[in-house]
Amino acid sequence: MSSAAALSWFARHEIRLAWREWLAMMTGSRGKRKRAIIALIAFAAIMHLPAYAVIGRFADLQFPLGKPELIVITATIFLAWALMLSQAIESVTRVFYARADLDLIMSSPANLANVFSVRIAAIALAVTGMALLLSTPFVDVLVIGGGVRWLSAFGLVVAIGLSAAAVAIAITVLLFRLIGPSHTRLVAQIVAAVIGAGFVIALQVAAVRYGGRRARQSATARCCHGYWPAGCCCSAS
Amino acid sequence: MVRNEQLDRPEIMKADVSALEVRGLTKRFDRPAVDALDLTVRTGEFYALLGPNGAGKTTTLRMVAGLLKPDAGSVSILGIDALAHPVAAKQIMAWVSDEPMIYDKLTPLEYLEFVAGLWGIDPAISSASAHKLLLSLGLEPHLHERCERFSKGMRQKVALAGALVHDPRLIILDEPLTGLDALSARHVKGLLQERVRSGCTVIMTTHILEVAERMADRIGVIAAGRLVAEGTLTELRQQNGRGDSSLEDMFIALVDTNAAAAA
Repeated sequence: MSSAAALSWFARHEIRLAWREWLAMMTGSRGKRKRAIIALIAFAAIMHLPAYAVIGRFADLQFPLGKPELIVITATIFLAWALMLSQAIESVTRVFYARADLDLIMSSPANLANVFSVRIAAIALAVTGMALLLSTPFVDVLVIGGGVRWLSAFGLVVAIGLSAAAVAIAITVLLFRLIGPSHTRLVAQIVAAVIGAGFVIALQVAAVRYGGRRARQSATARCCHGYWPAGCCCSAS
Repeated sequence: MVRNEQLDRPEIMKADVSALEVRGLTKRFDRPAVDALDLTVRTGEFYALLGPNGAGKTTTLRMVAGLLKPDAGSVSILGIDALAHPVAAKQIMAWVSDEPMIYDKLTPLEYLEFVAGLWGIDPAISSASAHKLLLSLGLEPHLHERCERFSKGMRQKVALAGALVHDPRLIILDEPLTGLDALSARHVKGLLQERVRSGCTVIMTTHILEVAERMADRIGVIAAGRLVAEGTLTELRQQNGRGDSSLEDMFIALVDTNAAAAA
């Protein structure tokens, strides 16, 4: 059997397993399934609100971009990339070290390059797929506010996902060689946790800074409309 | 299905050789797990490898199965240098761990078809032997059920069937009878003995000394990564000057002596 045929055979096996796992998750009891679907729809709808709050004001962005916009876009891309990287590192460690079927596969004469190629491709797909799902509300907001040109953002998300998977594999393999598989697993989990925490903290910082500016703006507005005691901005102006 | 071209190479197999020949096998983690171990298992033999917990049994067998790289030493499987030609060695060998993995979302038949595929066997060919194996292990009523609701014993039987589906010449089993009820254990023992009768070699670790006593042609006792005794039950009795004592008595005496010597 050719290498391509072997790859496709193993890929079919992995797809069958993943499909059945997913199906089992989605089709528990009828009540559970209904609740899961409602929760998914609600989550997707609710995600549009923070998406609008965070990114809505950038929908009509035009070239050439100013320095602040470039900084915000770069930071957002980096944070998203870091989050995907942490997810990918965890997945790569699991695939290379913790999958329960590794003993069976490695004790067989199967070509391990094929096996790991398929699994690495699956990681890249999973990371990118998850990123696409999470980014869809943000892109929706941009498309609604700024036009279909923003659909190209999906291409960027795919590129970020694939590059994160590639870097995760490189980091994990390097760690394997330097500190061995068991330590790699620990380090990878710590790195993933730190990156995840960093992402949340960065979001908080952004929210605080953005919220603070909005609060100052609304205070100014209220003052000018006569709600503030005399002697503030109105008298100053 | 993932067959490698390296597999069918009779030129790297020597005639009339031992099923397993291990020389100076060494593996060190925090301390030596296997310490310059020499071990020979003859072709067509049922060999039981005994030892206390942490003696190095599983580490030895994992190195033989190609799952762990030895620090030093050589492993020869039916004349094939398993370190130089791992793919060819794996082609004629099967490994079942003490906690075998089977896919929850596959039926036993699908699992066996997958395992056969790993060994490059066409599903059309493997299907018949898969059926036969599962029937002989008493799994007939569950052929088309997914394994997710199987008991530990049923899982072990499916894993064992998976190990036999490609008709290996050397079968290595780590504690295959743990967790099996009496009937399942009988099924497994019967199947293994049938394989030995047909010329296959079986190496098995077990803590159930009675099983080793009844089934094994030869028994090896390993302690602190070294083979401390080996032979048939009669030979072991002679070596230890314990006329008609049980294997359990001899095993405990051997392990105690070794522990005292190490201290």
